[in-house]
Amino acid sequence: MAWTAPRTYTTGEIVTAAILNTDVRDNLRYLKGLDGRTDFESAVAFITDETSTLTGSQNNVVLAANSVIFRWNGASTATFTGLASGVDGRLVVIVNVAASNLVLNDEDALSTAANRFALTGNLTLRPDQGVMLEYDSTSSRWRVAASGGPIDASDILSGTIATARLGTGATASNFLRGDQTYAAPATGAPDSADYLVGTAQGGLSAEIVVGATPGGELGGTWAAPTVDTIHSGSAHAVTREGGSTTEATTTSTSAVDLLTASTLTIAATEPFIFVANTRKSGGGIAVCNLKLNATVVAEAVGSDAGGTQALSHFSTTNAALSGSFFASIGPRVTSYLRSGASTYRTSDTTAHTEKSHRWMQTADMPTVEITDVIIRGIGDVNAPTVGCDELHVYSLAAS
Amino acid sequence: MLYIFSGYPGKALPAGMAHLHAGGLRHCIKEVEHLAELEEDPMIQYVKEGVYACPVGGNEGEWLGPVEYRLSPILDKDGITWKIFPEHWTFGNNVTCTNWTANRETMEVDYRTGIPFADLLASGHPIDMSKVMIQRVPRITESWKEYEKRWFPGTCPQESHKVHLTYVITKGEMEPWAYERVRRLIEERDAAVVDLDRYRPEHFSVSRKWTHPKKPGLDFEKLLRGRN
Repeated sequence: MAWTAPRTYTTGEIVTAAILNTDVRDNLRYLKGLDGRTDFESAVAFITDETSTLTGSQNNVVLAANSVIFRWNGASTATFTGLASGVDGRLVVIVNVAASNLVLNDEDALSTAANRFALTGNLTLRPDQGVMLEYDSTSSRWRVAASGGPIDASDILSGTIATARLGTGATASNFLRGDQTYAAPATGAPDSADYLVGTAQGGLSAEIVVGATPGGELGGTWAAPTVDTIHSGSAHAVTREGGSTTEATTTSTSAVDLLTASTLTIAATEPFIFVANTRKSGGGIAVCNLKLNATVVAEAVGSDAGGTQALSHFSTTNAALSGSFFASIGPRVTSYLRSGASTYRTSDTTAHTEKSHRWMQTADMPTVEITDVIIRGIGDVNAPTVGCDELHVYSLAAS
Repeated sequence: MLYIFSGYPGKALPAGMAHLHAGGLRHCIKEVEHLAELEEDPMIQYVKEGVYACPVGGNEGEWLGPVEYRLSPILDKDGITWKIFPEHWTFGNNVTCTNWTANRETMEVDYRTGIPFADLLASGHPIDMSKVMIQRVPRITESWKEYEKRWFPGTCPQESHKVHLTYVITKGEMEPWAYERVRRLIEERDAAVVDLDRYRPEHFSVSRKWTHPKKPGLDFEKLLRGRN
């Protein structure tokens, strides 16, 4: 029967059986739900009539007979292994209003079988969380009807909240990707990257092997890399323009072009330096001079026995002497065309030493590109053998 | 008389072997085997343009006459003629073992465009290095062009190289047998020095091979195979 609006009775009114059946019997049937769904037109509130402060492990916790809302407000953690007073269909809402956890143990044998919880695992109600339980008389267990509150991820990791496996693809050696599929981590290094290695690696597919001691600088491109023994990728301060690593010797008593570095490209405004080893094998005076292109710019002449205008000078000492000289040539610009100087040192096994500085004033230096650096040699009438070796010419960046 | 030979005594010897240097060759020619009368006057200087009477220790004084010279046949075969000596090239006098080097410069260019790599970098524009292919090519400089002209056409080595020559300047012309002996001493590996006891250690130099810094260990085969 449907709901009928309750009748308002008046004094002296005759109440018939029909009136009572409709107004009382049928409406009571409606409220109990005997004739179908019952609609409540306002909120339903249950009186909280029980607040528990139990702590520690509690078995067969007794609910008040009229308890629907079970408030727990223990001072410390409590563990319930079961609830008594279960009847079929009874609902009870347990809310944690305390600051500690309330744990409902799953199928805990400390409570009698009919009072236990049938959960998927122990259920922890953190502060401000709750759960609605329903008693199922068929299985004689309290079961979760509804639960609420956020899940703490740490409870998953610690196992406090039981989780099922994430599908059949999950294993100990793979991971769940963002596209919800399982994949094993890639093995080895990506093959789309460039690797510079000392020795070939089996796990790489196109590594660039430069050896354990590359002895150069990396140049070129990844498509065609090079390890250069000479810096070439960009401008640099010092450039080896040329030189000679083979000895030249002479017994000439007039100046001779002895050791030459040709096909150089030293601009007139570029300063440059050069070094070389020299020696004489006994005899008398031995001198090294300098010629740039076709111009002799440093040469001992006439009475200049000391060779102050030469690159280097061995005196009359009759001994095998060796030494080296270092010369610097400034930019060949107007008014500075004798801007060359050298310093040398010689010695022998008897500790005889000669050391001096020389400057170039035989002639102005050419103001064009230097293409040839020529070391000239000359000995005196005592015929020493003049040797020159390891000539190295370097230009210096001018900007 | 200026005699020019290819190489120097012992040029072909392995490293560590002793060979005559200019002073040793002078000693051989003048004191040991008496092959020729060497020109040792400090006033005499042979220059390409002529023979000069120069100040002591100086250069090109009074011109005395043209240079009489003879180049070894092997030089002609190598493309080295009188033309290879530039103006004012000085031979001095007596005996000289000389050498010069010619450096063939190289540069890196973009293989596709031929633009020098240094210019690409200097342009200031971003460069996708993965699309640049670098090639090292000879850099033909003006000094190289001039140098190459000094060789008999087509004979100049197209790489960095050294030229070793020995000058022997005598007061007169050498006898043919003497010339042949001097030539063999300088140009032939098996020409032995005789009367070795008449030489002293200071007459010799020791052959030496200059070792270039170790080349990089690039795996070119792997590079040629390409990637993957």
